[in-house]
Amino acid sequence: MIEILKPPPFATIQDGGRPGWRGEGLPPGGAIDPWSLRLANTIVGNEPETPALEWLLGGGSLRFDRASAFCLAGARVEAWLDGVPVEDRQICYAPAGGVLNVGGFLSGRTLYIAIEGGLSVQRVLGSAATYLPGRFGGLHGRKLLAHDQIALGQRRWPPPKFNATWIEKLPQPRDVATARFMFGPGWEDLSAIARTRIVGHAFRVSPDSDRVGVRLIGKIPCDGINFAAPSEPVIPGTIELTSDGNLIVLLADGPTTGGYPKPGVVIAADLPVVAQRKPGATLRFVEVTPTEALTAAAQARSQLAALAALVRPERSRLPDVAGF
Amino acid sequence: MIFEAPRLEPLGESAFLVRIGDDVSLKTNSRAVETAAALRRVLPLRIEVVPAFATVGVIFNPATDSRVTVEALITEAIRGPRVVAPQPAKRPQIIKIPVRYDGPDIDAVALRLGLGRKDLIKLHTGTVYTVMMLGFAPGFAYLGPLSPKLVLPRRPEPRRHVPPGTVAIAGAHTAVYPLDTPAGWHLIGRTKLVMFDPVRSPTTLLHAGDQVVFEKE
Repeated sequence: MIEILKPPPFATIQDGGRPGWRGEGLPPGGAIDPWSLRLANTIVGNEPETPALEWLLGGGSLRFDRASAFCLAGARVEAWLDGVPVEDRQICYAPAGGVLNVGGFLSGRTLYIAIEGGLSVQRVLGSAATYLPGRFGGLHGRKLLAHDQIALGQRRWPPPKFNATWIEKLPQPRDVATARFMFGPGWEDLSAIARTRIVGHAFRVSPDSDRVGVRLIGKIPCDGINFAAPSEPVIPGTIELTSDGNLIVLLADGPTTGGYPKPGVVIAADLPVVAQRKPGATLRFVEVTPTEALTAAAQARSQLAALAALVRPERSRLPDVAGF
Repeated sequence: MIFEAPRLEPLGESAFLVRIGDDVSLKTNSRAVETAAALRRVLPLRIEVVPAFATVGVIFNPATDSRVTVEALITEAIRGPRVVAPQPAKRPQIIKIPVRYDGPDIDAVALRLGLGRKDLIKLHTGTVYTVMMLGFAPGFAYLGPLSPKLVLPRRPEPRRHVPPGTVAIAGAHTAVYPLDTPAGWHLIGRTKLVMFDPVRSPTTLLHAGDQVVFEKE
């Protein structure tokens, strides 16, 4: 079990989400930075989409009631275990009763805390992900509060093996300010000036960003654009142009359909970049082809699979893990 | 308008939009719902097919299904001869939604439309609606078409919250808010029916293509 001592402004339990229900209007949900969730879980030897804490901007603390291996990934934060600084993207060992304190966010916006064995909560529609608008999933369908106690899952034997140097080559989305995107269904409808602005401009992230989407201050000229088009399916990563000339990049809890013009879609491999931009930080877009998008996603998958094979060699059937 | 041939557009690397037409008419929409059914017949179950007013979304995981294969399957399904699923012999069941017409906007709406409250209720209950699509929130069904006498633009300032079960109108549509969400539509009543429940099967009361009437409680 872990107990929340001092809750951060906004922390929830998230996993890989519950795709499959978009026809019913339910977004897939789950971690807004899936890469960092998978990385943190992989480092502690869990399956990559095991339920973990998703912790947005702000300090807080929690206590482990049993000795536990854990890992921080995503945002870079100041953190201490019983007063001793801990590093992110490393395996850390808390003793029974150990207290983890998270302080300021140095870079990035979204922190994941994965614990060996995972967080154990009831699954709804196959997932532990908290879906706030529906008030279900996670712990009572809400953000975490002081005194909340969350059960931990069964640990596996043998314990995970981790070497600090293994993560040196892995990307850090929190330090990236450019997201790759593909032109969307609304690209052709934009004026030349609007198009130039979307690909060239460093947009500022609005504080008004959440798990639904990241809002970007745009001042994009919207003359002649039809804002009354019929609502149509959208996915996380979809860039929507609102009538005030700003942009929203949808994230995991974004609606399944939307009526705004859609100039583009951020590629899956760069959703973590969007999820990690802090309010006030800048974000640029650069256009790529579908092939580049697919290659980037496949590369991220194989990097994590290679890491998982090192951490859990007993589960790997690969005789030799190249690339590390 | 329904396009001569459906258009296939990429939506990122893991989804496609099939564009059937460019309006919110029942005719275009029923073609979209029909196309969604045709796509479900050819695509593996793990691929999501989402009908909307004039488009159908196809969302897949490129780690499981190759984009080229998905694109080919969609193209085959939408280019080939139209296969209309056999109609059930019986008329489809009409889902009845009992409503208390006491929403906070009902009098203002009636006034703006130049109607009495009773006429408004009569017009709202006097139509068999089709569920055109689900979206915006889980279980939120866009029902249409609304009587032309009830058509109003959305409210300029959306409300931040609305109680689940609130019945509303905007544009050519009516809907029931399934959850406490922001609401830009005009609130005319409420129902006790639960539109979305994640632990119920099926989760949503209404599905695209269903027929619905509202009844004054």
